[in-house]
Amino acid sequence: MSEQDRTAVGFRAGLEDDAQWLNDLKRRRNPGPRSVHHRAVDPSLGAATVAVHGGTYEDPVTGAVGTPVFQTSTFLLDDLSYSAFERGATRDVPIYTRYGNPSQWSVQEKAAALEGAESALVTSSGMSAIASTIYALTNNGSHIVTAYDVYGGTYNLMREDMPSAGREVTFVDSTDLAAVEAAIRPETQLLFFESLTNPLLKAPQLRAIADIAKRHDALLVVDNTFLSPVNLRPLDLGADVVVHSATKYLNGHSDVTAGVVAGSRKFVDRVWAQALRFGGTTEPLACYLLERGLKTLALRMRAHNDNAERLAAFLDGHEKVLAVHHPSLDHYPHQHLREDVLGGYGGMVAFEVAGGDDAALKFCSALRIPYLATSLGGVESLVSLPFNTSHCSLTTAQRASIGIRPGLVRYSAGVERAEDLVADVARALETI
Amino acid sequence: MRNGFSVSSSSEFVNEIRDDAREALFHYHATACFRPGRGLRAWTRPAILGRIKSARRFALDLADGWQDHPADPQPQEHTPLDLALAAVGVCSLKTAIAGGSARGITFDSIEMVVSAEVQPQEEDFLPTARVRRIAYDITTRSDADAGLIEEVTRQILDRSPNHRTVKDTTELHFHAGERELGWSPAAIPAGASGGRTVRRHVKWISGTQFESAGLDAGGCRLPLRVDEAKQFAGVDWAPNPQEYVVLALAAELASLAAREQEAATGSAGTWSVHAHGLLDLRGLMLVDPAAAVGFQTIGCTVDRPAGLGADEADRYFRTAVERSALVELLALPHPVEVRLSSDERETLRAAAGR
Ligand SMILES: Cc1ncc(COP(=O)(O)O)c(C=O)c1O
Repeated sequence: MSEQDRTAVGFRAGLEDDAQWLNDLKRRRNPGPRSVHHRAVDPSLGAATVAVHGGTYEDPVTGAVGTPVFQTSTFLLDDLSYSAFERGATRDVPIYTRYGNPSQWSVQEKAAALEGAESALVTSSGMSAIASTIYALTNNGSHIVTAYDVYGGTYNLMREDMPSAGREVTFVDSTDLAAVEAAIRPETQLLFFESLTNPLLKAPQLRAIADIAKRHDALLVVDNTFLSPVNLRPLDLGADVVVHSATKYLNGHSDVTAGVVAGSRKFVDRVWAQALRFGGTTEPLACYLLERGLKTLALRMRAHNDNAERLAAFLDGHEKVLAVHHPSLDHYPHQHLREDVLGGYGGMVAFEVAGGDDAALKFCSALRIPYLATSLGGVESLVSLPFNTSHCSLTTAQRASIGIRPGLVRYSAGVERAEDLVADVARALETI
Repeated sequence: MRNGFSVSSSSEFVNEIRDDAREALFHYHATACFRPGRGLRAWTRPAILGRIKSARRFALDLADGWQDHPADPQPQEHTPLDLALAAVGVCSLKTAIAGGSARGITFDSIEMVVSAEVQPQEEDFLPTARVRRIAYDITTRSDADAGLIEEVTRQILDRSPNHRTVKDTTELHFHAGERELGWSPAAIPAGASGGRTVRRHVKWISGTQFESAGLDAGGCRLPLRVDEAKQFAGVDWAPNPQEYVVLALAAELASLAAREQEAATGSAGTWSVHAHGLLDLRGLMLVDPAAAVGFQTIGCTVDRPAGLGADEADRYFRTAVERSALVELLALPHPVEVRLSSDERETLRAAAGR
């Protein structure tokens, strides 16, 4: 077991300065923060291995195999803490849980390794991750380009909070590259897109959008909630920062609300500073649950991917189903996604049943396995209708204009046996 | 945090630009517009800080020096020269604080009076007064002994970018659209001196935040705020010292070009000037001895008034460039005297003539 050292690796290098001028300063940005007790896995290992082992806190005192829950709001001060304060390096020493806690570092290390990032930040919700990221990476007077069909919470943040914070926002069709490029202005600092959209599973061309962003000195932030790093790694495609509602697949058990931000240490440090001022801290107990959930991410994603594909294949062509939206289908319009994904397309399937919203409601109440609930990404299948949940604030005409037609059902396939889910859906369709 | 600065962030930045020179190149942009009857306005445009953009939305109404009459006994608007002097003063103090912070010095205060001896205006209409020499009266209070603080403060003579631009010869370029306009700086008239002195007080607040107020009766005494982008240790409170240089230059040239047009034709149109400059932080941070310390590659592009022919517009603009006090201040070397003191009260009182 290693000698005890609670500070982040690299922190002490910055303390040896005997600087005559700025060029003598030694501290560099290091991956992490992680202490010597946080397991750093070889990033070339498979996602399944990284998910199990990345970031585990190997306790030097007890030899515990699992990360202890550091359920504390504050930590003893010592000379290293004071040095961290003096040098503005408080992300590197556990001082106060809103600033950092070894339980958070464990989850962060695991999430960073999965996304292929230098650093990650765990936050109290997906929205906290998104709000902190957008705010930190833009300035007063800047301009943001995003999709008109981003997740409702993100849309509301963009539409209701950004203008008064001095950020203008243009909403575009994220699958229309020309529209994305045309929206760019000299002051555009940030492009924000989802790797797969809700509920129609549209996929923007992230590589091409990353090129556009670079050409205009703007940053690309990708919400990778719907695919998870097992299926797609936006940083590998050129994104600068990835955000997640970890409430969904990353945690995977519908029992935690959390968010993740991953990217270079340079950018994530800035988001960290923002998040700690906004107060979006993740409780150590939630970190424990999230870390435990993450260990099975690769296993779970395989089941989600398979189940959704099986459901999509069954639904496509069914006489009571007018349309099916799933990337595995031949008629799926965003074929480039096949090149970009690593595993599959996640657990979401959207489909339109014949008979409109009344028929959809009837269908949902006839289902026996999934729960009728919003959210997604848990081990249990969930089903909901956009018209009376996520998109209820739009008129029927507005919904139709973005492709949400009457009868649309959003199905989040869990990890149950595929045959059971298909049989359940088949039976429910018979009732309409 | 030391002096409101994160030494860790400075250290990370130094090591980042050591590995990747592109991250050291900071491009600053400003535009100024003179509109007849409306006056002179200048604003910053997005800066490119290495590979990151920062929107930088700051705008100032400025004194144009010839339309603003009768002379207001308590002017509310700064002149382009006010901006330039604040820019030089703040940049120098910031260099001392950044260097001192790296060295472990804790400052209680650091401030200066920057004074510029300007020549009497050469021609009655020229709303610009050429700077002959500059002096910094710097006072500090810190936990360092007098020898160390003197050493650190004297380092600004080599390492403060705006100071170096004033002290050294710096290349300036001017364009009308795509065309580069040739120009030659007007020679400094021999022995010319002793017009009047323009003085500004420059005071450090914390981190990268400063304020600078005019000290002269008859000048604008309102404080100018100075800060850095939040991507570079600041809090987006105000333009930074390099932005004040491009703001001042663009503003003076827009105003002068309009003045030339009016002198020749009896009326002036709307003139816009876009100014740009490059700061290579490898210079100031001594990461690469070949990198220039000074704020450099300064250039302006003019948009001529609607309805004015290109040749005529070029003529007015070129004359504006050749007569501009700020072009001369930036392009040609100027002597700078530095006086240090640790008894700030006495020095400031003396300098302020109070
Ligand atoms: C794509 C996407 N992003 C962000 C969020 C917000 O996450 P949270 O609910 O954890 O704040 C959600 C939640 O549904 C989502 O679906």
